[in-house]
Amino acid sequence: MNIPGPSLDSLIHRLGECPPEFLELTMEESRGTEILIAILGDTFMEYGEHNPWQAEDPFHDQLRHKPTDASVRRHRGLLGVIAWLLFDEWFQQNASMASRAWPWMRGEEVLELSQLVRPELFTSDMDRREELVRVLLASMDVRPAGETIEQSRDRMATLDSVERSKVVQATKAAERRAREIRKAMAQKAALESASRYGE
Amino acid sequence: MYLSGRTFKPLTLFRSSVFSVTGVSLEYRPIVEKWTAAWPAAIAHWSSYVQLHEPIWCMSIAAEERESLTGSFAMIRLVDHAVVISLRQIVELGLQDFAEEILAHEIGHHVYCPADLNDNARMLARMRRGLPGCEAYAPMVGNLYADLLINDRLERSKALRMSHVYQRLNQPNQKSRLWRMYMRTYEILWSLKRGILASGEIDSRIEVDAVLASRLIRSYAKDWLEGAGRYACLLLPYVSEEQEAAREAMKLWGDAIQCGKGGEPDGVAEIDEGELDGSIHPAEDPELSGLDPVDLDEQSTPGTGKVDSRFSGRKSIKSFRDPVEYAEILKASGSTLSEREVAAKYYRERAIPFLIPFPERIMSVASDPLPEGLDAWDPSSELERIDWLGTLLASPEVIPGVTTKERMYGNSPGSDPMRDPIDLYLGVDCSGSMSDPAYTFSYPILAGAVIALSALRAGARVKVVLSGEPGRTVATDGFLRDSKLVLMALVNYLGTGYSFGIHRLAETFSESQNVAKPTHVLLLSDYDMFTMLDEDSNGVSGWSVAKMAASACEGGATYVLQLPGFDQDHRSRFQSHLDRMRQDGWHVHLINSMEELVGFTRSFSRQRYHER
Repeated sequence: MNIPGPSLDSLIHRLGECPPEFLELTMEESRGTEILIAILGDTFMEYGEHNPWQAEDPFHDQLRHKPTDASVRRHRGLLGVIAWLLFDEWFQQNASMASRAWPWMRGEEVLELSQLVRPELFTSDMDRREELVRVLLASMDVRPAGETIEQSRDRMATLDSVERSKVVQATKAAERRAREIRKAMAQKAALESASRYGE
Repeated sequence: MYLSGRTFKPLTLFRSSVFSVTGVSLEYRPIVEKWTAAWPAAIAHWSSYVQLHEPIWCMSIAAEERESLTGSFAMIRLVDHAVVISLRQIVELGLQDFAEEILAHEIGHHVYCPADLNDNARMLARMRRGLPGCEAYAPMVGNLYADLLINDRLERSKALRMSHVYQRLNQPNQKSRLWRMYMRTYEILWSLKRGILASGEIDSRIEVDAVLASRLIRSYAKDWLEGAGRYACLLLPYVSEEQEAAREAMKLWGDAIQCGKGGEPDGVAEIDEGELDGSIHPAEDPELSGLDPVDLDEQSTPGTGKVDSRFSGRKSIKSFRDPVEYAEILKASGSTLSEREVAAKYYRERAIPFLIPFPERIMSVASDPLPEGLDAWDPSSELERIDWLGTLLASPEVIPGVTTKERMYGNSPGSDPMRDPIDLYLGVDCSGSMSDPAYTFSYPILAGAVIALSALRAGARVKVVLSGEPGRTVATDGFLRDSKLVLMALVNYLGTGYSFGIHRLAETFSESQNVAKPTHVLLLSDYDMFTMLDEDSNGVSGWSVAKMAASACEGGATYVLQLPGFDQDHRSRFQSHLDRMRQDGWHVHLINSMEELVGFTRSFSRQRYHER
């Protein structure tokens, strides 16, 4: 996040304009993988990666593996949305920066994010749109224009879905316990109410 | 010193800056002028069409106490649409420069959340459901929730400095986790630097809860009632852990905790559909958590055909709360009604959807009223009888009882038949076997309320006799037209004896004397009525009195019996009693459920009791 980058608002706006058809195409069961491989290949070749896909790239297998699985479909969907975002004017003008995202896109972080949040939320939900823009920029060591490093880190921490997921899971467990207590209390109250009958 | 906005009217003169505030000490004159001038601008932040009288400015502790302003420096009252501001505290806290912010916030409570007594009560009902074991804190949580909604709107859309007000008053190293989470919510909502409002340690739980709260506030800003239960569930762990410490932390900001004091909210007997579904923790709501972990059985095509119940077009079955919960919600919302007044209100709310056309006599001879000049109206007469045109023509200065006139009417033969409702005698079994209707929902009492209110609506008079004998009996003072008195009598409870004293009917009805007006007799009782009918009093059996009353009342008679567990065994045991009741001229209805109640009201409305 050391390098000041593009306007946050313009990238968030671009995500909102991602056509649903584009997302559906990359999530398609039959042709989705091939379409996505082509889109990503073209994008990163545009940004200076001479040969984004290695021969028999294991990442291909990751995208093809069990094509009907929801997890793979989501993974492809998120990669498609990121590809759409990467076609913004700022990235085109800063190709060397944009190309830094390639290893990150192939890594675990994107995969993990895709398993927690539906891809369509990255185009419809304001917080998730902002989160995706920020993590993409962070992968290039870039922060949104007009922000300090500290502000940028703070906002990233607030929007972090992975971290939120851990706490939400713990909260759900606590909530389940609370619900059981509530149920027991309601039963107790009903018994007390019944015992009042005829007093 | 104390200054009420209702009597202090220098607003237009303040605007022209020529008015000197009289009656206000020199110390407070500048701030009174400044804050009064800010009032129109504060209103305009919501709508220039909002009509609220100027705030009540308090400038001494005595004035604050008179207005029941305790703890906070400002408050609202929904009952009289008042805003009360302690300028004494405003000066002490150094908030003089935030007139528009504080006034716009208080106005927001009047026009946005909770806005009125009914929505305030409905919000509290939802919050109580989300705060099991901590229901007493629902008003506090409701206040926090409403403040979030209002402040977010004012800071973001109206560019008011709400965050600066909090900054001015916040203490460093805030001990309350709830307050830290609450302040962190504002920081997230307004993209403020961490630590500007929330002081002390912010652990991951606080952080995530604050994120959930901020999403909740944005998601439910337009339908805030739907989000109330979720917000309460979110705050439950904090409230149950801190309890009074949490209350202490937000004491200064408790401007709407008692906003419903003295009010009588309506429509609380029914449980809103969203009240049951909405009491979920925001973490359980994927819309709010933004998380929807992958499900390996997830279908490839989006949408599962599930439709939100609000848009399904299907009617849902209404559910109602019991009288105890109803009373608790009214109390939480600030109602000062007595226990019996609350119970009467409860049964009125439950009865209103079932009101029926009450039986009436149709007279063949009818007449139309014929105006016949004016007579003096005096205060003992009904207010609606005043003829205002006649009064003002007599004297432009109206002096009640002196210049007031009422029109006199004669009769002229009319063309329509005259309708005259029959009166109602309502006998209620208040013995030990009948439960107290203020604590346990009673179908017979509801049936009685339906019939009594239907009768009063039709213009009939109602007499209520409570009886638990041997023991006590209480009755209204004759046949009344006042629905409040009738319902209050109906929901009263004696708890003596074993049944309604059927011999009491002889006090009102007699074979030898005709009733002044045909009257329907409705008795609400249970199994013990069968025993009571077999009892003798002065050598006269209960059966004889019942038969005589059914005949003498000239308007028909009905038993409504609550017979829990009435099955084939009971039927064979009591069938002869039921048959005899019918032979003696009584209608008999057994009511143990809502379906039976509806069947009874339908049947009752179709009867022609006064026709033989």
